[in-house]
Amino acid sequence: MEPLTVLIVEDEPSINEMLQTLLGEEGYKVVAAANGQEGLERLAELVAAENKTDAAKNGGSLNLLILTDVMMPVMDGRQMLKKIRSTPAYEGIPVIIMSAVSSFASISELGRHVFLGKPFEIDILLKTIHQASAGFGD
Amino acid sequence: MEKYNWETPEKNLINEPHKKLPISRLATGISGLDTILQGGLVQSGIYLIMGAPGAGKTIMANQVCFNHLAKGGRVVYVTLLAETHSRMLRNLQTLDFFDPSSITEDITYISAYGDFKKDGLHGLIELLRKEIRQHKASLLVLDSLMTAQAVSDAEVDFKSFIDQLHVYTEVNGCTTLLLSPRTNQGVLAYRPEYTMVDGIIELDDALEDERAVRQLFISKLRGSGYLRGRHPFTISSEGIVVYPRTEALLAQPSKIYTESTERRDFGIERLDQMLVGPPGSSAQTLLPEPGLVANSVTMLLGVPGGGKTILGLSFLAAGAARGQKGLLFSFNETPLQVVALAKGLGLDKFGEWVAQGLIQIIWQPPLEEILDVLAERLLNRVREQQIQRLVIDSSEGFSQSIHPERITRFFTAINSELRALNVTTISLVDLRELFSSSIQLPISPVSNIFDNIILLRHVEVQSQLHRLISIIKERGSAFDPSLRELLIEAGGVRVGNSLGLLEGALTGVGRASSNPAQATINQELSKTDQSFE
Repeated sequence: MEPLTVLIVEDEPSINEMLQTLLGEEGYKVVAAANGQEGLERLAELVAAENKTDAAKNGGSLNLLILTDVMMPVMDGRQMLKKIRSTPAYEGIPVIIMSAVSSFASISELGRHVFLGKPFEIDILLKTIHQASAGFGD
Repeated sequence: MEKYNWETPEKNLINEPHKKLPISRLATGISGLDTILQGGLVQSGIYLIMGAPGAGKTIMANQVCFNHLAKGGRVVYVTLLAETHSRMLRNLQTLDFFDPSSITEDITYISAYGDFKKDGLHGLIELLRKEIRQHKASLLVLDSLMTAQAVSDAEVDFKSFIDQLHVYTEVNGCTTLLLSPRTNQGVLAYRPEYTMVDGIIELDDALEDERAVRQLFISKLRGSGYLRGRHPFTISSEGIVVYPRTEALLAQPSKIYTESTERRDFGIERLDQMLVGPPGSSAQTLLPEPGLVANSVTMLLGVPGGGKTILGLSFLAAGAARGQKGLLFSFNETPLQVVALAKGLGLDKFGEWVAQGLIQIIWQPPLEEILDVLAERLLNRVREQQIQRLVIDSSEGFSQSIHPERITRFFTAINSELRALNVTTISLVDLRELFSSSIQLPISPVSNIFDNIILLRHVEVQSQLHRLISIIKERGSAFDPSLRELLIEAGGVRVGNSLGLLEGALTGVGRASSNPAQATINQELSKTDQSFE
């Protein structure tokens, strides 16, 4: 089975780099973006590539998870997620929102998501990714 | 496995931020330092420990490591062109905290110089990241940061290194100590490590009046309050012991207190009566136990030979006779001298009470002592032994310690704590002038420091020296203001009649009073005195 692809959308270079390194070491396929706009572009590429796979052709789920910050330049995480939620092709993709601001925790318009408060320890992140990706498709 | 409910995403909350939870801390285990830090370092923070060579950086870092290991933590100790690990460990062997048996897989000493030489700061951060993760380290030490900085091409690279270290240590819950030699303070303030770390602990070893004193200073601490200012520390076989600056530590006494209704006596009948009111007053007859207010601090001010120590010992003996624990905190007579002196005064059971621990004596010569070390020694004994009566012989011992300029604030703080602990304190204060028309108080202002002042002086009357005792001030209590003779005899101490027929006795030279009104008062006092005979 192909490893889960994690799309990291994070404007802080050191955190973005750390997440790429650590998740890569954990066996995930990692794609990174520095803001919401870049995130949408990477997502479109990923979904296009996924749709070509045999699993997708047979009606399987997208093997993809988005790990995103909220406050970012160009396009923030909320705007990005609104666009994602209004695009049928992206339906059901689990999202983990990372933020130090708790008011972003319960925004129902952002659809299916888990809120992970910053700062977090890596073991909590890994557990959250594991559970969120397992819950995908239910 | 638990799954998230996608229909109610608002409930999928992990690690909620800004929830007011207690701050997770890593206790250093260093006596005094955790008090200054209000419980320890904030977990996952990066702390810079700075100091000149020999200031104690390596000892402090290793002491934190071994204390952390003892609590089940895991440590990675990384060196960069510092002393070899074997040499460092050998030097630590004389220190109590060093436990060779605890050097297991829970602590890893590695040299990062190879990776650093090969790949620079990138190689170093990669190594640190891997080691933290591999060993699941909860504490990282990097010794020395200066090596890393010296070879970094640009300041921005070094900033990036610290930034990445922040990210990696935070996600791994790993607290970091960076050791660095102190450089020029002005330049340092703009260096990246200074602005980017969570806290800075500076260690200093300076000369104060030719006496060497080590001091710790926290110049920055994010996420926590701390005791500001310089705090002395020592390095001995115990490792580092920090003594929080007394005035900062006791800025607020440990409990709120009100004036006690209890009195504690000297065991000298007329003196104890003087402390509750003028002769014949209702207080003298109504109060069941005359003497000093229990939670008060008294300055017993007097010339050498005036009887201060003797009154102090009488006060302790009177307490012991009632089963009250007393402490003599002495800078002068040794314990053996004290017991011999007490015996000479007829306090026959004094030695027995000392042996029983009912009267305790702490003696130290007033040479290289640090104020805060003395304060901790004194207050620890008072708290541990529940001391009720304290005699300090003499306050000069504190004044001669390092940092005498702090003495007024120091006494204000420590006396306030002693009141809170319901200790009756008598502080003996040396008066320098044997005979003088004026008195120079060695400590001032006295009103904030002492509740009561008792003065002992010599007076010359008709070519004969007499000891005088008088109460100058007693907070919250009436007292007998008359001047009386203090008689020290083989059988003990007595307070004699008032010296009312004298004028100018407090100047040291008495003259017969020529004032008819004063003569009348004196006659009345003499009548009252006769009732004591």
